Amino acid sequence: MLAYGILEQGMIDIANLENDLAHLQQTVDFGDRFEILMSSRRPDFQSPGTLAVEARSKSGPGRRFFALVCQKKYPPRQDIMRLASRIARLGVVTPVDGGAILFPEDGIFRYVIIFEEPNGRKLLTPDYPDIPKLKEDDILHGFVSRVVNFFRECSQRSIAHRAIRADNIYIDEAGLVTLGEFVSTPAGLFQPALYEPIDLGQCSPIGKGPGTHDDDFYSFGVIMAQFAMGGTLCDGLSEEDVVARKLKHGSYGALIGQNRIPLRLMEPLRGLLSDNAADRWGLEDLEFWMSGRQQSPKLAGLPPKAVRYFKFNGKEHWTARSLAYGFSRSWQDAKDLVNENNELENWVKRALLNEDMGNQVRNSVNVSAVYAGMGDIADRGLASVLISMDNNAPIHYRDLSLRFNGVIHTLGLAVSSGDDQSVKDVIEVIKMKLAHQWLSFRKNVGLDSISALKSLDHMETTLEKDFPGYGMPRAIYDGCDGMPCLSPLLGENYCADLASLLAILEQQAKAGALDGIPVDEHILAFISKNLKGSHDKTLRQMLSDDFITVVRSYLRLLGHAQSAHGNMSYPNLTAYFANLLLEQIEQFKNTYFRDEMRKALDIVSEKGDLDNLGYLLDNPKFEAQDKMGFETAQQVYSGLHAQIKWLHEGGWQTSDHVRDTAGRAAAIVSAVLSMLALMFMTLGMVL
Amino acid sequence: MGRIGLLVVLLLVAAVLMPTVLLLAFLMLPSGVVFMLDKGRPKYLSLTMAMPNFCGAMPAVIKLWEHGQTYAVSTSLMFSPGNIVMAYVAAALGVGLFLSVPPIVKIYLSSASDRKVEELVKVQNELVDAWGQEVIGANPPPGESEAGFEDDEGNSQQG
Repeated sequence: MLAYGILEQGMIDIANLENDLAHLQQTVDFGDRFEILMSSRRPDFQSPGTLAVEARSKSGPGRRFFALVCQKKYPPRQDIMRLASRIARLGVVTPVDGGAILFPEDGIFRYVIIFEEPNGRKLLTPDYPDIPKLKEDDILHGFVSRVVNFFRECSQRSIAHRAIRADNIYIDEAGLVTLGEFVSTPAGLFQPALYEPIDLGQCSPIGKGPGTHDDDFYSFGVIMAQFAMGGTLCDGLSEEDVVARKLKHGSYGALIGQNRIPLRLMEPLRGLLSDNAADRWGLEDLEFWMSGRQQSPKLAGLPPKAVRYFKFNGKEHWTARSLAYGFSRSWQDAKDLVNENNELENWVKRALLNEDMGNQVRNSVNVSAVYAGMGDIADRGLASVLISMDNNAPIHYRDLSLRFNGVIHTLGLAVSSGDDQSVKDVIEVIKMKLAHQWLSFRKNVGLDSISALKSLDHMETTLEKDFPGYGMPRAIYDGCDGMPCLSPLLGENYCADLASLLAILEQQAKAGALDGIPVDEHILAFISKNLKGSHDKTLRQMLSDDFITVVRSYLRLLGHAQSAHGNMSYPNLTAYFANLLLEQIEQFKNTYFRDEMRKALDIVSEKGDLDNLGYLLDNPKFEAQDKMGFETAQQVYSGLHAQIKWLHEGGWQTSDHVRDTAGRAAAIVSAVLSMLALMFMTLGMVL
Repeated sequence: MGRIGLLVVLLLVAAVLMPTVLLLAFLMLPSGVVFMLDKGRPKYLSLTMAMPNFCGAMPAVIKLWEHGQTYAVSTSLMFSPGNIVMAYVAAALGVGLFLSVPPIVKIYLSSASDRKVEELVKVQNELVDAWGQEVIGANPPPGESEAGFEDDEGNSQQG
């Protein structure tokens, strides 16, 4: 049975996850198509870091499915989920569907991936602890030809499998091999060093980056070798020992050595296990070979050996690569050694006879002083020394080893797994330009590397931008497509996209779990990354000290997200925000306006319309009009009060006013009576 | 036509109707005297008195016009006791009217003042309903005077 460190960790995670999810026994709906039977575990389809359960199609019996419940700390490869689902299911287990769904029993959203059950059983099970030795023809027809088909589809879609290992392979009674799934956890996370090229074998599990097809071909070569020889290669060796052995003998020498393998398979094995990625066999080489054409793969030459060894921590190192790897495993001791004396420089120059490397070692320590303030210059110095000693190795920095093009993925996984030390280390790697230095030591710099460096520079700019929606979270979401929102405010919920962000907040609002404004730098970065267009103006308003301004700005962002995702209704979340806005409404002086706004809030809340809620009070004229109206009302009230006071004080009954009014009244009465008298006199004369 | 024009017209009319003018001037002598003594602005007493005084003088003027409007007839009518009594009594009635109105007006104004206060308090209450108690500011609430609450008759009570 295979027992590699990282896989053991994966298995422990499964046991922990099983305990954590033991309370979930109800069947959960996965959209309209499937239901997840949480009470029915499927250990036979288990992948490390996930929990396998039975899934059932709602369209009726027939095809059999299983589901993997993923963990937030090991985010599934959402970015390739759709592409992977289109790959023909011949020779590989591909996802049928995947997404974040609500588990009603505990109200938590989890990412679940549905797969169709493959034929056969897992290659390695408790009943079958060893890899069987297959005949040459069985290897060719049952394994190679099927996997090459898969590689062909992968190359068309730019997808790397990165989980080709013995415990993730199915084999049926006819000897047909099917590769296991590869989307439930980050690329290569649980891949043991045995199946990895030397540089990836040295990487920390979170430091491997997205990986490439070249890495898949290497893993494929290791499996081919295992089928050819039977049993488990490097059995009983630790991860570190496997890497050390590969460094010493080269991969082919370390894995095949003097073992006898079918002559026909030697050629592809030499090509696939080449330690030089540029020389490693790819799809075209395999297709050439399968069509019967001869090729002569080159094996990478072993590094130059010193005339005397360098003893470090009790081990004798004869090459710079071996010593660099040894240093990376005992960081503190190596740091002391490198920074305190010239022993290393002398050994490189006098024993390894490499004057250039010796100078680089000396300069690396000196130049690192430039980066004082961005991190520990002694650590930077050692990292730089290791790059100059082995420019094929990953970037080593303290306990972290990461691939050049995997820096941002490392940061994402460090954050998702809550590994604060690694987060700090990756940020220092970026700020101290170790990736730049690593690239400067490469002899052949391809366009991919230039592009990766450009992305890294962009990421550094984003990382240092102190503005809502940017900073480290934005660098992660920009650099890692498909990374879920890692906001601590979302708890255990898996937030796959903006729709699930809104659904999670809705669920939290329903459960009364929200407090204040449910927003942080992660949520803002996630929204601004996933929303189309520029929202910097709105994001700037999030800096306001005014609570209501922040609420309204956030609502505007959530409203855009709602509009962009089918205008689903979120009544509880809308009601929660409406409640926050009540504070603003209560600030208005006009009670009739307040009543009207409260009614409007109730209507919008019932509809669950975040977009309209954001715009409901978004009119600066409201406040100005209310203020002006209030001031006018105060003046009118004061005027009325003065008038009443005057009347109370007999304003209308003063002698002057009475005289004036009486005089006017007497004059009017006199005029009327006189007119009547004249009229009667005139009538008397006429008649 | 300005004031001078009006004066010219009046002088022409007076020249043509001199007997009538003389008769009226004599019979409306009380109004003339009061007009000169009345310091009020406007001169309500003069107005109140002059109009009935003119009515009282009109029968004599009509008789003058019936008899050809001569100075002789004008003089005889001027000193006829009946005409003098009628004109002067009418003037006295005007004065009486002027003196009797103020007490009535005072009672009316008192009642109107109360009604006006009620109207104003109602408007104040509407303002408080619309804008809340804050609109009152440093003023007392509606229906209360600065000295205290009003009683039913609108008089304020201390404390």
